[in-house]
Amino acid sequence: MGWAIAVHGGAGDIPLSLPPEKRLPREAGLRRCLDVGIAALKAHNHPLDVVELVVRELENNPHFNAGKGSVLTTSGTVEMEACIMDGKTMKCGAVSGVSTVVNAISLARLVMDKTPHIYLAFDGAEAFAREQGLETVEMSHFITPENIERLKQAQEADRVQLDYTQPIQKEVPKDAALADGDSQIGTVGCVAVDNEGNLATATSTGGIVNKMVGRIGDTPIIGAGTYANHLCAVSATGRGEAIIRGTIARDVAAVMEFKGLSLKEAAAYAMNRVPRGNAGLIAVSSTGEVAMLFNTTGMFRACATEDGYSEISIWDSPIE
Amino acid sequence: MEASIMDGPKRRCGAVSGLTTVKNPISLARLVMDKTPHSYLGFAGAEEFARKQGVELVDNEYFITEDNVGMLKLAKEANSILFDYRIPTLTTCGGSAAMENQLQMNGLPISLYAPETVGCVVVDKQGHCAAATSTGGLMNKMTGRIGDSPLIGSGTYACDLVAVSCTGEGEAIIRSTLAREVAAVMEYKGLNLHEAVDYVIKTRLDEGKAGLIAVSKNGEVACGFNTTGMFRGCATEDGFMEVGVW
Repeated sequence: MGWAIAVHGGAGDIPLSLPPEKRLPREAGLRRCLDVGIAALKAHNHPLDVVELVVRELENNPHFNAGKGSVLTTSGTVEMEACIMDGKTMKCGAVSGVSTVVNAISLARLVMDKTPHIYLAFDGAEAFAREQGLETVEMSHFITPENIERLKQAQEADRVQLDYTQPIQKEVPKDAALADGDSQIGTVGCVAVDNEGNLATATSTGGIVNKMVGRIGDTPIIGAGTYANHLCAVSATGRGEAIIRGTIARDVAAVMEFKGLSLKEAAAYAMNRVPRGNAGLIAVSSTGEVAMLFNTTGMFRACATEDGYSEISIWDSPIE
Repeated sequence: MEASIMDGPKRRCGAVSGLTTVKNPISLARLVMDKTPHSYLGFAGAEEFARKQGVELVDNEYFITEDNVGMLKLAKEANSILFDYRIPTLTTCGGSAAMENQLQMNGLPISLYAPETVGCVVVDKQGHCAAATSTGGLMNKMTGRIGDSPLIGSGTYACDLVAVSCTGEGEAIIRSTLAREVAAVMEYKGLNLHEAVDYVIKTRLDEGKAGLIAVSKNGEVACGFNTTGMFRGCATEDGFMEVGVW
């Protein structure tokens, strides 16, 4: 037993040659979020508050595909989505199609806490945000030059691109063998458990580059990108369509329950439901274990447990 | 309006939410599955897709019935979201207190009018399963509220083994990922269809009220509900046919 926390900043085809100016800010972001989360857990905050806090940090960081720094729709707009779930009560909240709310995860939390519903979207979600007095800004606040460039390239290539670290090369990309050349990254998430076994998960994203206006991914779908119950809390990232079809987050918990698998075994089992190159997930169990798995080139991630272990990684070996 | 459809063998799926002019949301969900790289489109983006696909569009008034207008008025006055499934019938215990609290319209219990989700599950001779669900959602819901019907794993699910469509309190169905649950206990616990449906209805809903229909790849059909009733019908190739309410 003991507390544990894991954070991700997206799984995808993160090239090993990622230049320092793209790698370092993300590592720093993960480090800061981990520290924020650890401090909150040590101060005995409820995991629900911890995951919301950490995801807000990630949303505010323009280097990740959530909040500021969200990738753009085919119309050049931002449509953010987020989801939060409490393991013990299984209460949850989700939002989609949010374009002016600074922290979509906090809006999702309010849907959970202040409405009889679980999921609000588009105009209704925006109206609710205003009713609740949440901080809203012009949509331009979220748009970064990097993402404008990504959209331009994706439209030129006429493909849907998840990756936002690697602009498409004009010549044939080296990774063309992987999943028809679509490099994938996106979404931020956090899972946490305290030393009483209370679990929570939170996920937030701008979606995929050049997505159709109105496209909803796995993040706000309970059981797909986000799930928590009394056994574990899970947050997934990657190709939304594959994660939805594989009900990934739910399945981690399901095989723990129905097949008696450990957290790590369950995470591996669930990942097998998604084709290579498509996804990653982080998970914590009620007993304080952590699992971080991905079948893409890399996944920006970090974790820490009460016994003093901590890790920040992108590819297979921890950086620190 | 919202809807979703799922094809068992490859678990392909399509879903839509926030539709107001598309005559058949389920067909738009099908088009999302077949004609886009996505699984789920909502609101203005979905309506725009519908226009581009040339599907039949009508004025929003087309969908609105007098009964529903009446019920919305009652719901607003009672400041509630109407769940027909919770309204006790005359025969349940609770006696006169329950009767007094019963919402009525035109002198009859509101449960007789309350609108519900629709769905269909099918399996063919090859064991190929599919599921589809469609709804207008909850009476007096907040604008922009999404329920279980368009959510894969909650209101709709289909895989190699089974196809499931759910109806009832959307929030309870989402929390329990009800449709996926039926398939998961079959897959991971080895339960057969009827055992799976019973197990899930009995143990996964807690305070929530819901029902579901399911078919298995072996041609079995099952339904379960913890509500007073569920409007349903089923048929199998060997000639069995049933329509039921309670």
